[in-house]
Amino acid sequence: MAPAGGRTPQRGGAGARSTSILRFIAGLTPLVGVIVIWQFLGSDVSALLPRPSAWWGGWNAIVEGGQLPGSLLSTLSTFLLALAIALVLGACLGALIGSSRRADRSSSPLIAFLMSIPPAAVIPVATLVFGLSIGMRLGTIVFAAIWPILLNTVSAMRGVPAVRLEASRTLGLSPLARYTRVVLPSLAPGVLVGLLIGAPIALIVTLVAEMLTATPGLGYLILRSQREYQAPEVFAMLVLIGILGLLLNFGVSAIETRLLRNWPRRSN
Amino acid sequence: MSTERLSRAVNLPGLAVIAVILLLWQAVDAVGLIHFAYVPSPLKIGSAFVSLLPTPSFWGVTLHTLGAVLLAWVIALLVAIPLGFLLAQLPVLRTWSMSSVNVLRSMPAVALVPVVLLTVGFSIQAEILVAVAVLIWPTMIATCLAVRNVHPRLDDVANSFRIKGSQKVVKLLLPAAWPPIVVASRLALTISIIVVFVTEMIGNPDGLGNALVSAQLTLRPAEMWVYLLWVGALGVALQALLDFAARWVLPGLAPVLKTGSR
Repeated sequence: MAPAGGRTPQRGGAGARSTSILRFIAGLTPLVGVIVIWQFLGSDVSALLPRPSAWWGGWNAIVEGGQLPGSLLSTLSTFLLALAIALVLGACLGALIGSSRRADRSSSPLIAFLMSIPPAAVIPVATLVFGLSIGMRLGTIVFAAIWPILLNTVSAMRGVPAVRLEASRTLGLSPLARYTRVVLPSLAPGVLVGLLIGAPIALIVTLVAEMLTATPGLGYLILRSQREYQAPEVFAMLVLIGILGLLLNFGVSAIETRLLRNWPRRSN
Repeated sequence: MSTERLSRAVNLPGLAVIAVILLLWQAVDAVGLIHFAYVPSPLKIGSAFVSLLPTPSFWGVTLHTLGAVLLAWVIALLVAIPLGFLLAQLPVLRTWSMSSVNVLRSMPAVALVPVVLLTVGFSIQAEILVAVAVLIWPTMIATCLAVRNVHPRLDDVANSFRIKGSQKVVKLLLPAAWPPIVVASRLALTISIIVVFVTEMIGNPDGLGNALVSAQLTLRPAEMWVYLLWVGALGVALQALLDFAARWVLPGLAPVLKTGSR
């Protein structure tokens, strides 16, 4: 790769890192404040909004129920598998569609329509057609998470500079080498942006699918707690799912900075 | 000339692709090549749609869902855009709140549904509350970024024209920051449909989401497919309406919307 553009040097050093951690903690003040006020004003016996210290009891009840490890594993494995399928399928289809202007134009109304169907709406239909299988759940998650990956790959493909392709031809690269050394690296930033948007969607649809089909998982656990009016359990599960979402957010942006370090900066 | 413009405005190959898929679907069903008990042919879905169309309950659930979607969207924008402006203008506020926003923003939306159902009960308020709680954060962050990305030279312009305070916001910042805010609002409308629909499916026994689930549970596949396609069509129509309105109110936005749709 030619060092075109060049990324600004990483803000390195322990000092920069510790100030960014301090900034993060400072920014948490409003959230922590609300929780503290809630703790002092709320009560343990409130059926609707039990105070934060009561959530611990709910957490213990869930742990004693014994379904937590299996549910966590099921949710995470479904989510990761579906995301991997969406990544490969979306990148391949996107590269195909993006390689021709005509294909891009003739597929865009269909894609726009499919994208506008709420992903959750597909779940009951898929349940009826394919039955309650893991394949059905994976399919619905892929259906939801594939679009940002596909569309960003399409625009990355359409944005590959013609000069770069011509240069590879002039250099006498074989079609395979042209693809693996020139086209794929050019697509990577686009695919990654798609993955960044698609990953949270995939997690959400995984949880919805568990709620709607009552299959083991975190989504089912939190909905069951709500149906049994176990408020402390609902809030404990909310915290757990929130932490998962946060970890996902951090993980995805860490992957982005790590992988894109050697690429020219995104233009936007 | 006019045919050329027509072919540019109406994406004929794109519509042809959809038509071919529908024809193939119908043909496969007619020949009996593959038979799924719960995948009715497009004609059957069409006739189910025609028979549902005059029923008041069909329009009742549609209006219920549309009302919740639009109300949640308007409330979220009214809260998020001013807050975004405030965040952009006050660095202190950003330092002391931004990571709270990021934590709340990364919360998977559906996890809020059981919590809200528990506290508010099964009602349209629950749908709106969940949707607002999800929509506020991305819209607020987009507004904040849009205002911060306004070129610093506009500050000099404000100084030389002696424009200050609220006048500066109305006359300079708002017009300059508008395009990304409109793009974010449009995305928020899509998310609003998704969230309201999920809440209806899981919780509130009303609206299109519930109609879809009950059509599934009572084994009426044609009706179920009608609701699925109807929601998709409503989403496309709302987006088109919003684009049209944005283009009409802010003619300079057209190119931005074009790139934003991708």
